[in-house]
Amino acid sequence: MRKMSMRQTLMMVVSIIFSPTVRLFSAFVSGRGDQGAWVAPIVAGCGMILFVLVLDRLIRDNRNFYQHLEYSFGIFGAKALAWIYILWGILLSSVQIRYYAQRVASTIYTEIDMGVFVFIFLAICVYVLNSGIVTVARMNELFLPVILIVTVALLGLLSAKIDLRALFPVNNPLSIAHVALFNLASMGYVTFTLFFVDEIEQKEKFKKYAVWGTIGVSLCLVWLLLAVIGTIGPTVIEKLPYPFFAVVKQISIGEFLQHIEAFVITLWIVSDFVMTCFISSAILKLMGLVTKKGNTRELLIPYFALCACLVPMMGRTNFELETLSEKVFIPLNLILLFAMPIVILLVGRIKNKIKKHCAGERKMI
Amino acid sequence: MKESISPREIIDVFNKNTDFKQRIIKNENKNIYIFFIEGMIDRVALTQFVIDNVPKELSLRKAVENGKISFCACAEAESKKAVISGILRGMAAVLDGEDAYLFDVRKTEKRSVSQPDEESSVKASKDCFVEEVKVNTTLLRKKIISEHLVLESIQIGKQSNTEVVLAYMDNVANGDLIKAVREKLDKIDVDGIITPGVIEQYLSSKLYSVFPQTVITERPDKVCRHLLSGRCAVLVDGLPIGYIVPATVSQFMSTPDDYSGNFIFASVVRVLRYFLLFVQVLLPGAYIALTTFHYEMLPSKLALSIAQAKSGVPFPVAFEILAMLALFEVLVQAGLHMPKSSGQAVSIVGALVVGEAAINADLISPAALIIVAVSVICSFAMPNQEFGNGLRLWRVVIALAGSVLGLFGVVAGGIVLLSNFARLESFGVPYLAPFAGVKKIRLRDELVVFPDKLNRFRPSELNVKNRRRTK
Amino acid sequence: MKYAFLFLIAYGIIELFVLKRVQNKIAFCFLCVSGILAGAANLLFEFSFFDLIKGVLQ
Repeated sequence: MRKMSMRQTLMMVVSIIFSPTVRLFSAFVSGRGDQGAWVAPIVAGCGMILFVLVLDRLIRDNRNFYQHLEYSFGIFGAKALAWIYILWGILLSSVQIRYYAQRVASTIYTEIDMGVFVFIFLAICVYVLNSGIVTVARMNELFLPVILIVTVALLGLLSAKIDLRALFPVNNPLSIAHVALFNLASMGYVTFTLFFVDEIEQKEKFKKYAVWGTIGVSLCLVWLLLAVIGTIGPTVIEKLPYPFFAVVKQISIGEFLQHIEAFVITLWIVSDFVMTCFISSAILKLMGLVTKKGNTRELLIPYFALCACLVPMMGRTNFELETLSEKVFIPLNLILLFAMPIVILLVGRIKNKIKKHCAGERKMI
Repeated sequence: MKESISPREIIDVFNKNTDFKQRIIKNENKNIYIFFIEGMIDRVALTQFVIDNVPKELSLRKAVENGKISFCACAEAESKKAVISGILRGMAAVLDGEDAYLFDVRKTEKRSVSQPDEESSVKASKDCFVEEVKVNTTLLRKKIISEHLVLESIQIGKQSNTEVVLAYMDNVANGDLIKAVREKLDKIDVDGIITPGVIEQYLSSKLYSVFPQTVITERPDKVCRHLLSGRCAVLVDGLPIGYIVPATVSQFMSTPDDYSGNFIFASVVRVLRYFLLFVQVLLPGAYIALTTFHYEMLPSKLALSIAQAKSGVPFPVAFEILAMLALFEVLVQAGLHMPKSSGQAVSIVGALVVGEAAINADLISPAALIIVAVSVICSFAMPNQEFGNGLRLWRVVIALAGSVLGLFGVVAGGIVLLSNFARLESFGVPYLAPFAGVKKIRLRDELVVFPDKLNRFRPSELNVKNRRRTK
Repeated sequence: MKYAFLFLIAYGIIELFVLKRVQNKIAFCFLCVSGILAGAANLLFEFSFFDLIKGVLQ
């Protein structure tokens, strides 16, 4: 089996965070974000670093996610939980694909049915994943530097336009907490690393890479929020479907470099591709573990066909999609990606202690 | 165990061949037979050093052992098969009914070592491989004077029995790699190796890929450089090329000149080459996408000048570009198969028809011509033609995707192209190494050229026995 | 997209009954059946998951 390194895995996680940066402003749409929201990624980053320590313990145990579930909750509990994860993963993939298609269809292809983009995108995913997630991991090693360079360059260009008055005062902890939850929901994809644990080399480097990755991503998100809020202000953001896109549209250097939002669209597609492949592989991997059949390549086509069937059901309009995302997927993400690993670790540790205690007593007898 | 070889059997094998010659010398008690194929041996050497020294009174074995026949390149043949094989390879076989000896008096017609045609270089050495494998191995031995340079000989081809040489440095190259290459060569099951494609197909892990998975070169210095890095090379008798494995993208982007001059300049040129790779693949597709689907993304002045230039042209941009790309391929093919003298005429007609006349007749716009020309020139900047051919094919695919789906199509095509690179592996080494798929991403001496003084380690992805190149 | 389930029906039948090369039949059938149900529900009722949470939101 071709293995990927921990660096490659975490690079994929960093890449996929770029895609939800657009939805970072969803909190503003519901009126909960304000000018102080740029502090939120710092809060989220701190929480994330603590969570990385939890994940590090689980990864070092050398068990895959399903084995962790089995150890902590027994065979039946593990099976039930695994199927919950699978159902949620399928819905999550579908909602991501829908977001991607909606974004492409509403920014540059306003007259084309989004089904076209869904179909082509899924066909590419099937084609690429046919040779395993390692292929995506390698591709992402080239994508990520481009994503980072372009994002940093765009943010650099935007920085000159930031109006500092639009960023202060920072006095609404509720708004910060709300935006931080949105941030955490997208950072939480790092938990999927647990699903691939037996396909990953250099597990011991998880903590180092994940902590540095979190710091980097948090700073990037702070910069992004500063740039967007500082350029157009929180009240305008509420009214825009894609604030980052709208802000980038304003960038021009002389008469030559105009309309560089094309780069953003390109990066969205790339980031969405990595995200869909990453989540889908994780879910298919879990499916293989639950059904005790390792080969999941044959499931690729039915999996993505199911996603294609589910995509229209994610909402008739953008409003429905956003609401579904905010009310269902973000809480579910927080429960399944954050709370569950913590519960698994705690239950596992308690079970360990009880076992040791029992073993000690038996020896005494 | 040695078997007795009857001269009659050998004659029976060859008696239908007119170029098969025999000479019988009468000894005191038995006849001594000398067999050879005319045209493959050096008559003078055979006469002076073998026939003249065949003794009248001694047995053949004693004559060789006592040094009566003093010719240096002499080996005892243990079997009938060995004798036949030796004669076919141009040796002279001397038999007395009991013993058989092969004298290497070969003198075949061979091309002298000349300058490389395809991979020319300004400063690097000017020798290139020829069709004779022995000459080629000598070229390697001359450049690497070390007992660690191993040249293993294997015979491949059920009918042709072609000599194939596997070369590697036994103190550097990974044992698993050598074993894997040897196994792949042993598995080759063909009638004969007449064309270079056979070896390439068998050394490739994925047959259905347009990108080469072995580096083919006509330069001994290039082979030597890669041998010293821990790679293996394969030389085939009859082919004036060497195959280097494992192959990675970065190898196709480097030229011998990169290591002949100033490393800073060479680095700039190499980075430029990578940039040109993207330009040649994406430019036609991106141009079609932007001018057909996303006009608003172009700067207004540029959009206006393109629109003005395009005003009289009746065809859509996609058709213009795709037709031009097709025409370019036609010109390349015509140029390849024409005699050199007519080749120039083809270029002139091509340039006039495609360039001047087509624009004057408003069949294509100048902008489209410039885009295709830039892309084509960029493709000529690729150091490896095999790799460049793969990219040329993908350029058309991406242009098609761009003309159907715009920018989205170009991105989708780019993703699929990259996935093709990412899935390829050559003997366990990722094709994209050392940029992706390796433990540590390395840009030194790959994206940029590093001076040998600082380039102390061999590539990590090759898992070599001895990573340190210098202290 | 609404008709993707038709593709799933055809693909499932070919893989399971013609080519017979599916090893993980449980997961394969689960995905196919879910897809067919989802597609059919979407086509017949114009179903959206938003309808499910609408009641809770109100």
